[in-house]
Amino acid sequence: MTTEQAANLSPACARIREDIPMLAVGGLSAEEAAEIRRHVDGCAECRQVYEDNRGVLELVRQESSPSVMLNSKRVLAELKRRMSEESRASYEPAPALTPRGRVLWLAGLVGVAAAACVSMALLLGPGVKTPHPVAKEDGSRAPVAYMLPPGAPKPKPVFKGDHYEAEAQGVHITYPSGLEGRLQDDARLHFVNASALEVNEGTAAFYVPPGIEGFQVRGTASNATAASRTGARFMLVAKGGPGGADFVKVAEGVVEVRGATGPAVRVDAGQGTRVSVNGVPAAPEEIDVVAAFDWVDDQSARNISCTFKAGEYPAPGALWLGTLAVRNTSEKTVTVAGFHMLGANYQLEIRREGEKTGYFTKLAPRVLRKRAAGGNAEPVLESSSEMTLEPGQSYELEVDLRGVVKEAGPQTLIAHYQVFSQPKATGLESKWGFALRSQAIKIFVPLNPEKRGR
Amino acid sequence: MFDDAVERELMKRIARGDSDAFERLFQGYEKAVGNFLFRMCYDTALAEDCLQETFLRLWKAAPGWRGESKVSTFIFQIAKNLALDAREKVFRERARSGASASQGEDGHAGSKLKDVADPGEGPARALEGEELRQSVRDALESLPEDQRMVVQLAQTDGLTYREVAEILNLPVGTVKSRMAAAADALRRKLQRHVRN
Repeated sequence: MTTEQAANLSPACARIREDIPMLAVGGLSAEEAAEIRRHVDGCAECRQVYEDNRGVLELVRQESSPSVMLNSKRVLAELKRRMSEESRASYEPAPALTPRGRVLWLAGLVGVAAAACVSMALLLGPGVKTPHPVAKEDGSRAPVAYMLPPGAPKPKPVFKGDHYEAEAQGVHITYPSGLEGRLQDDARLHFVNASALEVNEGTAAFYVPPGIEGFQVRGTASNATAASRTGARFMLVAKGGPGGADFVKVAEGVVEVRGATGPAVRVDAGQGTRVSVNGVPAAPEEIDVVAAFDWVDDQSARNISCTFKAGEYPAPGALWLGTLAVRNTSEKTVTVAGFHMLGANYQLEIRREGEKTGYFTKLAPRVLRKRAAGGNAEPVLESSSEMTLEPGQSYELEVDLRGVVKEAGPQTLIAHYQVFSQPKATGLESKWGFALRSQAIKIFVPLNPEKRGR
Repeated sequence: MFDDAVERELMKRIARGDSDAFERLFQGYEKAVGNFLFRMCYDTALAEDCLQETFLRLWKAAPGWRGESKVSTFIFQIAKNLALDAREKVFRERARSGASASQGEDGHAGSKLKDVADPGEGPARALEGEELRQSVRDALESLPEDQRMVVQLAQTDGLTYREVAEILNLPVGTVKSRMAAAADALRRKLQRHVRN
């Protein structure tokens, strides 16, 4: 339809004319189709356009379809064969990196990894080395997760097939799905994919948030697989005794442990089980969860929340304020690491539209505030190394986003608050710190903002 | 295709490694996805390969699928990307052989005549049918890539234009205008066949 033709149409015809081809191919919802049809039935010109479109699009559909049905049975049979092969390949043990001790595999995930959800940046710092940088499979550069050792300056990605050895204590792993992991020192990992992990040696703990199912970890001493259900906190310990044994301990949720032989055993919160090459004992034992998980500190991290807010893009010359808030959501007093002090890290992840991988930038505060539960705020100094929060209180870090978000267009912002090596990170004794992530918010930066308002 | 809630449940089961759920989802989509893939490359074997790869990728991605879009959208997004790669492959191969990209299945124009022609039809009718088919494919190939993709997705059973917009990551209005422009161009090129 030319501009001239469009100008000659009545408003009612002009409004529905572009919908007619979609009506002709059945691409409208029932309500939309009924509305357009009412007009078409009562308008001779639009009815003719509809008939023309229907005729030609039906011809196109018929004549461009395959004359012979695809052989879906053959496709499905081949699919099953490939799924079986690729599944086995996913769980192929990683090569031992050093000859010491027994090798523990915490491996991986059932299921499969997801090209679709992969993509964050992993923080890999000086405490982590990559003895065997493995070639990336399929040419894919999508990271599986982030790693963040203490003192790491920037997030760095880990890719499918990578091996890492944590020399420092408290290495933090974050997956795009929200799943998190912690490593004790000397733990060695093989990243199978976004849903699967092998720990060659050492101890690794995982938090699987609600809504994420099927995360699996395998211990190589026992060749056992621990598969979590949604909302689980568990660890695999590579301190197996003679004969090759691993331990699985569960702080929250349910984990199914399956040995190389024998049936899977359900391990509930507060329970643990030894796993050997001979399988899993039928009855898990009660464990001291606090003692087992104190190094992880994931329970105390739940006492505080991290949120981020940003206003609309402002007029030229005005500030564009964003606020990161760390709030005590518990009913007891907690102590958090101070803003921009050694061991605390505030970063903003910026994702371009349609991308699942963001880039990170450190947040420099413009104003620091402490806000009472009732809403009154008072400025605080940056020099504090620890800050005490009463129930409902929060610390706020205000930034000018103009200096942070430099690209135009629609983007998503996620704030990250990370604390490492703080002796009293959240009111509970904590050796390893924690990392929190805010909700994602969408922003829009105009292409040529300085021209706005002129 | 199934009800949205059923498909989400199937995806959860697939994420846990449930092969029955996978097979069920495959059977619900194989025809629609297969036809779409064929219409993008006009090559039965290549379409079958892409269909296989689409569902293999879905199986791999299932544990990380967060349910932010409909399952149908997710599947067709994978298929669309594979279809674009397949088209490039077809173009390259047929450029080497000197055939047109829209030539019949497996590049052998007319080779499927005996499969499609009614046994009661004479050779003249069969040839006429093949010519019509070639005209339609040539008309589609003459469309800009972005319009052709909208047409092929919009003609897929069960997909609404809103889903097409989501699959292509485009505003709904853009999908409508591309579809309208494509339909207009196709009508001009093929009107005589329709009237016949």
